[in-house]
Amino acid sequence: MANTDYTLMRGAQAAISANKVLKNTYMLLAATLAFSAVTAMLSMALQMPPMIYIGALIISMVLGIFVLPKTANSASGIGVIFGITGLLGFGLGAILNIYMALPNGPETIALAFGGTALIFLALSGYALTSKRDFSFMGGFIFAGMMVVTIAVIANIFLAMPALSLAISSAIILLMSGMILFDTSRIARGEEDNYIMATYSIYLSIFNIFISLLQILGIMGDD
Amino acid sequence: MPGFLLFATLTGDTAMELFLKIAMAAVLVLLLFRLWPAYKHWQESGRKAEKGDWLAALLPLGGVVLVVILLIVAARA
Repeated sequence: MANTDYTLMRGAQAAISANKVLKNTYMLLAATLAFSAVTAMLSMALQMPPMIYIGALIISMVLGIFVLPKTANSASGIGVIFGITGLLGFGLGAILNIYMALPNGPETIALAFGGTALIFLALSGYALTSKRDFSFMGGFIFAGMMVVTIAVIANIFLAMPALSLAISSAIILLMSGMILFDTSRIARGEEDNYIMATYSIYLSIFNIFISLLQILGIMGDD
Repeated sequence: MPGFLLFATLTGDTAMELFLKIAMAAVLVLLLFRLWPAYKHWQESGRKAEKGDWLAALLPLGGVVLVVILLIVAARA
């Protein structure tokens, strides 16, 4: 009887801990998305050139690869993730200005924004309510990300619109899978660092939005 | 990784832009070095799919494809 009680208590504590990480992740995600939106609006108001996007992307990737993992277990990790998301938002503003200048540009941005929100909310809701373990997708997702990264490196210099379209489509599918993967891991208590969890989900949302902009911009004849 | 493709297709090649492209490529190569251990870890010690797992994953991803198609139709309308 005592062993059963202990087992039940441990199970309940694990669930409470997982729920706490989930809550903190979504709160931090909301805050970082809002901060990104503010820096994007600032960038748009300042009419920053498109080059800023690449510069912001490079710095934020370096921070994400080298700095964030080292600071994710301390309070400074919060500052770093806000720095990364603020930079990405600032760079995004420069790209949004290009779209705003195109015919149907504002509609394209609105569709990409709405589509991203719908995809994220639907996938997160599905992962949380189905309570399924999507960790089996890990190998497939990371393999896909490596293939896409190599394609992206090639297309930096080739600049082929057809390849850009294929890469954007692949990114949307991979990042959607990543949302399922990350959300199920957090809900099952397999991810206990809400800063790294937020960073991963934020990048999935950001990548889906940018890829949708690319696809809708090309397919919408802009 | 995301959307620098927009940059590549929209701008010409000045010296600064070429430098940024090279820097971006270099950072992406670094990203590859981070992705490889993650891939190895999940491939070797990750959970293997059981019956019904892939269907449960492909159904919502199919929904995502449908949403993207609808968005493209809306953009062209």
